[in-house]
Amino acid sequence: MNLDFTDEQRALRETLRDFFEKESPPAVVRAAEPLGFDAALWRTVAELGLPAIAIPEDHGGAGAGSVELAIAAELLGRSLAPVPLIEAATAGRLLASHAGGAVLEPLVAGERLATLALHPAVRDVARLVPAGAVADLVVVLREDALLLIEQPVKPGPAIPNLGAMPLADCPIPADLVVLARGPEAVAGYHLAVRQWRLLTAAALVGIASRALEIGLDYVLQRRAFGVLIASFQTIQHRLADNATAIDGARLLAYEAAWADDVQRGPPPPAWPRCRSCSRRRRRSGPRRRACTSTAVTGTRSNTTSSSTSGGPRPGPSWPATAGPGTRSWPTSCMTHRARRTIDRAGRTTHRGRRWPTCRTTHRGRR
Amino acid sequence: MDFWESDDLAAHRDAARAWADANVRPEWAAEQVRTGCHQTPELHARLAGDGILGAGWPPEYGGTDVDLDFARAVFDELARRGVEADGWSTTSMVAHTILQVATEEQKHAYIPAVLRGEMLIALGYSEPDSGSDVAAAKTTAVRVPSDGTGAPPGGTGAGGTGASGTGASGDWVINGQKMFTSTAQLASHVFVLARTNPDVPKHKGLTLFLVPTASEGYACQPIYTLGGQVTNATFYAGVRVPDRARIGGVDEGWSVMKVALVYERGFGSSTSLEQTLARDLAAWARAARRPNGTAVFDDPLTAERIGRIAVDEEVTRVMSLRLGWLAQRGELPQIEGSMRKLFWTETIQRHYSDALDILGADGVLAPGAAAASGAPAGGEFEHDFRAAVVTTVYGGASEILREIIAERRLGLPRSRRA
Repeated sequence: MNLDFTDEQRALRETLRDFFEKESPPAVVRAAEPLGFDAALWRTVAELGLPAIAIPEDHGGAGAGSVELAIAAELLGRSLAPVPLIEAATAGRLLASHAGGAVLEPLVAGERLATLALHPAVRDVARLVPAGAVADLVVVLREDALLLIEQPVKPGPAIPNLGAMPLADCPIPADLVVLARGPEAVAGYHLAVRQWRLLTAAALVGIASRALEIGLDYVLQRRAFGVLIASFQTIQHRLADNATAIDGARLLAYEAAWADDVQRGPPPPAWPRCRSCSRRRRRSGPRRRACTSTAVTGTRSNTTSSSTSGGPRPGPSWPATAGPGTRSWPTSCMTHRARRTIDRAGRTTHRGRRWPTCRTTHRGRR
Repeated sequence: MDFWESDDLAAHRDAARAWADANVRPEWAAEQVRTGCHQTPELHARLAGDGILGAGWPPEYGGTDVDLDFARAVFDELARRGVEADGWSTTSMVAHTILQVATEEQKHAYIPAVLRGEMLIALGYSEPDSGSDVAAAKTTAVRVPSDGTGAPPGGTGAGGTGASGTGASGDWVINGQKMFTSTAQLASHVFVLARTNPDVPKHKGLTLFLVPTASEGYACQPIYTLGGQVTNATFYAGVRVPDRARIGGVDEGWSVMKVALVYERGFGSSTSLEQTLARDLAAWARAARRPNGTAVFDDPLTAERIGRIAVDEEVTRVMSLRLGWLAQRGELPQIEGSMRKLFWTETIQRHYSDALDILGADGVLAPGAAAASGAPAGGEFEHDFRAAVVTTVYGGASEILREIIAERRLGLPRSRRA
């Protein structure tokens, strides 16, 4: 057990924190609305090589892993940066396993943008694809075939939504590329969707942390009844609960990222728990955290000049795009998790849950 | 960064299981639930006899050469089998405190007896009027001459701030009442926090005493709790103890308490709390059928609620791992420990409430009715539901933990007056 980042990871964290704070302040976030995409910022992000950070080195990427991507996602979340880094990174990793250099090179170079449909296509359309309104390429599963779609028009018709995200329905044209077929294609697709979830979880941790900071700043300045409102018990207790939940969520998000990095082959029963758990936890967290921060900032949160008012919107919306219609927690995610629990309950287990003890070589950095 | 959970007691697990197989009667766990007493004297005697209580203690005070990790593995195994040793927890907490702050004579007088299993010590901190505000204790201790003749010299113990064992001798007379003196019904002593100086700020006028339960004037009354545990109110009506029963300096009890609290908050007890509720519920839901013949688990909302429980259990697990990691680095994870307890206890109350909803009528069946009506997991759910209620109160109430987090992690100004 070791919760320290490596020196490189720490450096990445500091660099990206500064980068997003400088390049994606609230003014940039607001200017990008309602589409939720800033092309100039995206070009800068691409130039930094971030979308290719976890693509293998022999495909031109940096060869890093999900922990590094989670770091980037968390810091992107802190700033609500209007760039589809999570989609591009996830689609890129999937394409690195299934597509050739001709497809991958422009993605790695940041010249083209790929995204991932979060649900299999139904009747020739991939619905509510994140970054679907701005992507050049969409990777989607249809039945047992993994498809690569070249989008005809960019930006496409974005569907207005609560989180100001560049969502779109992407039609599947007649001329498409079948990247792979069969059980491996299906497994690869679902792995990519889970990776999207865990990175979105990390981004939500970022949103929640920033919302808490804004709330803390505020309560340490605002006075009522002659004293700082920070000294009121109810304020303190709610913020303490927030901080605890954020700690828990962050631990879970990074556990999920670590688990993704170490696993090889089909996921062991314990493994999907992390990713599902992390998504689940993060869904509740930022909305509550952001709402509490909004609540403690009182009426100010209702004015458009407050940065907190930007908080609650992406929070609840982002995870909902991965859900099949339930308002809060995607049932599929939880059913998946619960089924794994059943599997374990059905076997004779020895006490306690242990991670697989096979310490296969992994890319995890020390 | 890695989340591998290493078992530092792995080498001792088999031996611990073997010891438990040989020494633990299977009916003890149910007996503890039934009687509400979380201490089994026969088990305690066996632990003492085999030198397990003395593991890790200095030999000059009766420590044994039993491997400390083996002893820890034994206690893990006991907990796994549902056999608690709350009396030993409080006793060893006090014994550690004695080792830190007491005189040599006191260490020799008490520690060997503790490790032989002959002394069991209950905690006497809380009172009817003070729990979280423990320094507000009103039980008094007044110094009297040893010959026991009447009035104390010159009033209360004011000015008696000499180090224990020097200068003033004599006895102390204790009057007052303690609440939630758990395990006092089996204890040979109570570690009593008493006010020895009412003329100074509350933290500065406290002293701790080891009071024998055989003392004249001592009484113990059971208190039956919602969760099934039977604790006690203890009464001190002119209980007289010699000065050598005073642990730490006169009026210096608060600094002794701080040592004791370090052991109570148990930052060192970072072994994962093994939680199986989600797993048990899922197993039940898979087998249980609705009137239409489908499994309860096939209801997506039910599966979702069980999943939510599993997620929170995982967060608690990783928070526990974090505590272990910090402790191994030699850090004192007070904030992380508070966060873990706060998160765990608040969530399990919701979990057990959810569990009872999911189980429906079966969920409210008591253990006694379990065999007859097939209540899931032997009726543990309804018992655990009740037992969860007190967890947000004892060992650091949630409200206090939130304030610790607010002050020390978030930098907010203290909200309660000192």
